[in-house]
Amino acid sequence: MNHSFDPRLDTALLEDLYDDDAEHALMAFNDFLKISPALMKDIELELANGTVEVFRQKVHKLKPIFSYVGLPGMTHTAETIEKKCNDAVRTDELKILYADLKLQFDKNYPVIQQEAGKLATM
Amino acid sequence: MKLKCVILDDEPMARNFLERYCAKTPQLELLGSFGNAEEAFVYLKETEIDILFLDVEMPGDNGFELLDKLIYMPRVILTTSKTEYAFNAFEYHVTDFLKKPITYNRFLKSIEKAATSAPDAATDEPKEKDFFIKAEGKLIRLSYEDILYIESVGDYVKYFTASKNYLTHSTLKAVEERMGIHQFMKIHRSYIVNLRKIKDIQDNSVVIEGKVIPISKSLRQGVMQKLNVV
Repeated sequence: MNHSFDPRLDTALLEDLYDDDAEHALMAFNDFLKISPALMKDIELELANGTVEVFRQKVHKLKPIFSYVGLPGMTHTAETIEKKCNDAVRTDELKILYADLKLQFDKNYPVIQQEAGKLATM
Repeated sequence: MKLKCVILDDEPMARNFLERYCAKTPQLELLGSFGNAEEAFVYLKETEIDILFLDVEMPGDNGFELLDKLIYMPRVILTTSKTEYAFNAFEYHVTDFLKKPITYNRFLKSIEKAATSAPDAATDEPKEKDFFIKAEGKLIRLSYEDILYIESVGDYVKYFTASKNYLTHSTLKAVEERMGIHQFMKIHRSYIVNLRKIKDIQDNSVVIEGKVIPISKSLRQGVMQKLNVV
């Protein structure tokens, strides 16, 4: 693919996922930009309500999405949260872990926006 | 000949990936892509396929519960982000296990594996001889042939065999959907029986291993026809 992904993303993973298919990469990045903010809000709401099992299920669904845009570290964080839910830890501990995920999300979302913009011009 | 496949995943991005991978793989013909197990089951009841790309954790029925209901077993490729399902994957004889995010190269390897694994021989009889139920905190393999009858008990059903009974969370309707093609028939709102195990038929009941099971008035004619009672 005649496109160099942003080095802040996992470029090796992205090359593996999209190979020479820039159109596919653009579609995935746009999907991420479209659906992830609502999913994050949804998860936050479940955590605030203390519905841990629903929270866990939604984190589980969100988990691979980060990797599709080259953020496997966030997938790992989500996986840790999911496991902690299974360990029946206190909601306070989940809130701290979620805050970390949210921080990473807020930091990386503009990077994904930029990347989608670059892919769109190809 | 192309391998007919279906995707079941409630997560749209995961479905998009698999749909795209299927589209660029000449060996595959994608027949359907579903976001929930109920819709997929309706389709799979009517259409026999070669490969099922199956997510495990979904709202409603999960992937394994869907497999429990199917009357035939396509080659199953599990697509999940949770490796904890590997044991179940083994128990259900799945062809391959793809951990998300799935790369195209890994996807292709999985297709090669599915293409070379022999499907069950085609016969008029149902292909599988047994299935798994969740009971006693584990998955237990039950042979269709061993089941005498199934009784509805509130939100549960109880499978009776000659040696043991198993209580599992399900409905008689779900059991009927899965077992209707076998030698089983619902004869009462609370009972599905193995027709081959019936020893005696009285006016309004059948006897299986000494147990007298009532036949509903509304189902009686159908039961008699199925049993070839002249």
